This record gives sequence, C-alpha cells and structure tokens, in this order.
Amino acid sequence: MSIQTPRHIAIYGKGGIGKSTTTSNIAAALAEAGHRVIQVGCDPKSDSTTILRGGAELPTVLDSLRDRARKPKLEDISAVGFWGVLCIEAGGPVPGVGCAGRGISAAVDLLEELRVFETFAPDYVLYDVLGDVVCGGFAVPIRDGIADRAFVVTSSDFMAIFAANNLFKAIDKYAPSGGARLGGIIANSLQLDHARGLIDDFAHRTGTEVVGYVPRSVDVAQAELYGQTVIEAAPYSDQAEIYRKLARRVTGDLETRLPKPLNGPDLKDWARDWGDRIFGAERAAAARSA
Amino acid sequence: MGRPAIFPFGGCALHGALHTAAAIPGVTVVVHSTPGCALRAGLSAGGGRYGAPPGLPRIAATNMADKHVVFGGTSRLREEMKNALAVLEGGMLAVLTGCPAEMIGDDVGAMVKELTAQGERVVAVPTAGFHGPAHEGHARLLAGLLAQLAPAPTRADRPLVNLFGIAPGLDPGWLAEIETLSRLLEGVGLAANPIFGPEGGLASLEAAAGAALSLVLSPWGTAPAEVLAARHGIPVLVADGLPVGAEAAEALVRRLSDRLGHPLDAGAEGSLARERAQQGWRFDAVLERLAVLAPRRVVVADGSLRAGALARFLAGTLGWPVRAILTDSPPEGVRAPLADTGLTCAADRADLARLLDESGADLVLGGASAAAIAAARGLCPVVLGAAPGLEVLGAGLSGRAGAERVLAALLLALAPAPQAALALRSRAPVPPVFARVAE
Ligand code: SF4
Repeated sequence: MSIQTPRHIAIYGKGGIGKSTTTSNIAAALAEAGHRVIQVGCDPKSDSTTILRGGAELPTVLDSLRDRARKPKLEDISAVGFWGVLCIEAGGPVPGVGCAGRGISAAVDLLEELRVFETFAPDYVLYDVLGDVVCGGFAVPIRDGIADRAFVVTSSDFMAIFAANNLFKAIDKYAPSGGARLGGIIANSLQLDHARGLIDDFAHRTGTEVVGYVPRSVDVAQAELYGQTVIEAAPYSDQAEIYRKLARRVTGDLETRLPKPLNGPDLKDWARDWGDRIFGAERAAAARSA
Repeated sequence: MGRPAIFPFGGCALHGALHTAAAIPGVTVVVHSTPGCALRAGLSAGGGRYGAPPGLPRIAATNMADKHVVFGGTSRLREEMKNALAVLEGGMLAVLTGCPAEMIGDDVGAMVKELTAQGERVVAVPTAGFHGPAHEGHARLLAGLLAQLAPAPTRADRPLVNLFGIAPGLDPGWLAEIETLSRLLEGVGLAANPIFGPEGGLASLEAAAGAALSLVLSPWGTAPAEVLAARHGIPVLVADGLPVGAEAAEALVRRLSDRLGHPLDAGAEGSLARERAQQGWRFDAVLERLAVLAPRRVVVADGSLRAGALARFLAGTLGWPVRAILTDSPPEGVRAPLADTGLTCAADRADLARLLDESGADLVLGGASAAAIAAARGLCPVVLGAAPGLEVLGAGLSGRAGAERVLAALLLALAPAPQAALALRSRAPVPPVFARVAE
C-alpha cells in the first residue's frame, strides 16, 4: 500500500520505559506488511533505531551538522534497516553543553531541507521522542502539525505516568494551533497484577484510551541481545503478534482526542490512592502466604 | 508588568553592562552572544524606538549562530578571546554573556580559567538581558568585577571613598556628577574613587577594595557596595540620591566625615561656607522671578539616581507639590518603601505616558526622553539631561551648580525673557559651526 502523503506519528515516553523497543517493533511490523517506513529517533541517547539495524553505528544528524561546513546528505545521516526501514537519529549535543531541544528542531529542519519525506516517499514516519517534554524542542514533533497523532508509552511506574501526563499538557497546548492530537496510551512492560488497572484508570481520568497492552516478555529481551526486533528474531511468537496488532492500531482509523491532563495535586492524590491500594493488596497477599 | 516593554528606556541588562565596561579605561569587552545583542546596543544611535542605548563604542562579539546554540558556543568564545588578547596591550578582558549563551549554559568560567591559568587578565560576568533592565546590568557588572579582582593598595593619601550608583552611559550627566562629587570630597580632605571616566580605570577599580567607605547614591550602587563589604569589610553609607544644591551637598559631606571619623578642618568649613554664600547670592538674585510664578503641580520623571533628590530640592525650594516617577525600573526590594512617598515607577515610555496623563501634572522635569513624552502630552517640559547617546556630555545636578542649573532651566521654561523671542525673529547671522550642527 502506498498512501499519498506520509502519516507522521510521534511516540513519546520517559527514558528507559521501552519506547524505542516499542517504536522499532511497530516500524518493523509496518515494514513487514509492505509499508515504507522512516523512524526518526529524537532522543539525545540516539539508540532509537539500533535494533532495526543489527546494532551497527549510525552517525546522528547533529554529529554531521557539528563539524561540517557543507550540509550533510541523506546518505550521511541515515541507514537502511530491517525490511527497508529508513533509520535516522537526531542525536544531541554533548551533555551539559548546548541545547538538546533546539537540536531536535535543527535535525527536523534538516530532514525537511533535504526533502527526505519527498524523496523516500514513506507511508509512515515514526518519531521516537524522549517524552518528559523537557523544553519546547522536544515538543517539535507534535507542534505545527509535523506529526498528526501522538502516542505515549508508559509502564505502571509513577514517573512514567507523570511523563505521560506532561505530554498530555503539551498536546493540550499545541493542538489548538494545529499540533498533534493524542492517539492513545501504549501500556508497556505489564507484569504485576495491578498494572493494567492502574493504567486503565489513568486513561479514564484523563479522558484517553489505551490502544495496546504489551506484556513483559523474554522474547523482547532475547531479541534485543541479538540487536533485533521481536518481529525479526521471533516472527512467530505471541509477542510479535502483539506488536503487529499494535502497529495496525496506531496506524489505523482511530479517534484522536484532546486529553485532560491532571494538575499537580490531583496527580499526587491519584498516585497516593493507587499506592495505598497496591500496598494493601501486597500486605494481604503476604498475610495469606504467612 | 505583564506585557512586553513598549519603547523601553535603556535597553537590556547586557546593554547597561556594556556602557559600564566601556566607561572603565583599561577594560576591553567581548560579548558572548548572538550578533544582535552587541550590535543593537551600538547601532541605535538616535535612541531609536527599540530602546537600546546608543553611544557605545565598537564591541567585539562571538556572533553565536544556530550551531552554537545547539552545540554550545565555547569554541567561538575561546577563539574570540584569543584573538582579542593578541591585539590587546595591557588591560583586562571582560567577557559579558547575553541571553542565548546563558540559557544554553556555556561554561564561560572554564574558558576564562584556561586563560587566567596562563597569566592572562580575563574575567567573565553573567549579564544576560533577562536579568533585568539596563541599570541592573550596570550593577551586576560592577559587582561582578569587584568580586573577582584582586585588591591593589590605594595610592591616595586621604581616605578613599568609592562612588557607587551612578551608571555610565545611562544616567544623564553621569561623568559630570562623578566630577562634581570628586571635587566636593576633595574640598573636605577626602578622595573620591571614581572608577569610570578619565580619572577612573583599572587601577581605580582595584583600589576600591582598599577604600575607607563606599558611598551609595542610588539603589544600583548597593550590589557593588555589598560585595566590597562582604569581601573586604568596607563600610557603606547610603546617600539620599544625588546632593542637589549646596545644603544637600554640605549635609552629605558632614555625614561622610562623621561616618569616617574624619573631622572637617577650618579649610573644609571655609569652603562649605563659601558654597552656601555663593548659592544664596544667586538665589536671591532670581528670588523675585521665582516668587511671582504661580505654583505648578510638578512631576519629576527620571532615574532613581536623580528623581528623588530633584523632587526633594524642588519641593523644599519652591514649596510646590512635587511627585516623582522613576524611569529605571529599580529593584522590587526598594520599591515598596518608596511607594509610601508617593513615588511610582514607569516600566517603559508607554507606561510613563500613561502615568503622566494620570498625574494631573502641568510641569514635568526630567531627562530628554521624559521631557519629549511630556511635551507630546501637552505638558510643560523642563529638560534636565542630555539627549540619548550624549549622556557623557550632560551637565550634572549635584552641588551648588546643579541646583543653579535646575532653577535656570525652570525659569527659562516658565518665564522666558521676552527679548529672547525677539532676537530669534531678527534672524541674526548664525556662526558657521552652529549652522553645521543644526543641519
Ligand atoms: S535581551 Fe538578551 S537577547 Fe536581547 S539584546 Fe539583550 S542580551 Fe541580547
């Protein structure tokens, strides 16, 4: 399938939450289904596309902008990965020096200047963004209509939820002036009993929807050790099927919306309630087993 | 204020700091910021609508661009400092940072240390525009320099007094004020440490640490004085603004001599008495013309160095109701106590126009830009300052001569001599030099 204009999708998530793994598996699933896909890593850590490329080195856009007098070419800043996914890493400045947010803006500007989206003619462009939305630069993919829908990857960890709530605030801010709307929440690394209920409740409170539940799986860890996505390493596994379903969901027809982020005190109260419930359940379980 | 500044008075903190650095002989500036920051300060030579203060010399800048914002601008700074030091003979290099450099967090301190470790004289002071108005930049720069310099012994044989709170390039007649105050102190056996202008310089800056006292003439002198108090235990005397008139000047030197335990000798007493007599004689000569004037509602619109002192002088001398509007956005901390005295603050020219309309004043005294606004609102202006960019040539308000200047300007505005108008109409030949200036 080839659609006229590419669909730009931003996937946010707190660092270390598994957003790059999720994004790469979605990209792999889309590519496997015959779509042309670009994945742009917008995380100064610049390891977003590693498992699409077998772990090979890829110079980041900012690295190429840093030292060169002339503008880098597309070949300098991209690599073709699994099933032809075009991999690009925005990169970032040396920690503590310069402005990572402005770096992301500069990288996206360069991609537009190089007419990457026209020449490669992708069906889908996935932006994998460090999701705490620490400054305006990190909001670039959801601002000014670069991406038309945004998803947030979260675990049941409170800090990940906090980051998701921050993203909702950013979406709320930019959506009225043409920014992306929220596609939904991707619940990742679900393992504990309460996790699903907690994320569902958060979605309910913020007027959003969970578009996929990804359980914690050894397949993922194993595939990553080989520098691969689950789609590539274990194509027949249940986990691969879960990612394929997720890929269909995030690219399919779905109602995007404006989330209603919780304010600081509400979020704290909500977290405390859940803390009490989980702690109470664990205590009961401990009493039973004693 | 809750809205952007519309026609601000003095530019940003960086611009104030630039003026201050430019007034210290021996200090060379490198601005670490985007090109516009330094350029705007220098270019707006007409005191243009964008408000950057005019009249600055050429200034070296690192000209940061997008690339430096993303990756940090220290490489450019290192290069620029190296180049500056290569052509600099003696003196000191001062690195002033603008908004972009401070927002991305360039480690300017580390760059400077590389050079100071090689024995170069370089200091860096954070002076980004977001720290506040131009006067804030003056205070920050001076405090920053004093906090970093190694003290040098004073060469003065008399107690040395630091003059703080007069901002070069920003306060009209700043150099004249420094000169007058220096003479005043000299007359009573003290030595002023001017720092700025031809009598100031690096040596004067270093000697500040060995002064007997810091005299603070406006809220903008507090920060530098506090640095010296904390580092070297130098006592601080806060004056009530500039001493306008012989009485105020005398009161100031008496306070100084008390505080320093430096009694005035017969010679000093004699010189004070002469000043009183000189002023009295002149005032008497115009007393009648002053007395026939109908009382006006007066507003003094000026910086905090001059406004309060001028208002006090006018109220005391004429007995008219006088209010003051401060145009230099003094720090919040000093505004609250001022509010009781009926003093208000204008954040920019638009704000001043509004305050003037509301004040019900019919006479406005102040610097050139305040006077122009007053005139545009149909109020009678009395210009007591230099045009923007010519602050250095402006005459001062302190001491006896300052008071005389104020009265002369007032009488000229309110009771012009009829002959003056006649003479103008007669088209007397204009001397060629004036003709050129007028063109
Ligand atoms: S406000 Fe900041 S950016 Fe603007 S001129 Fe001043 S230092 Fe430069």
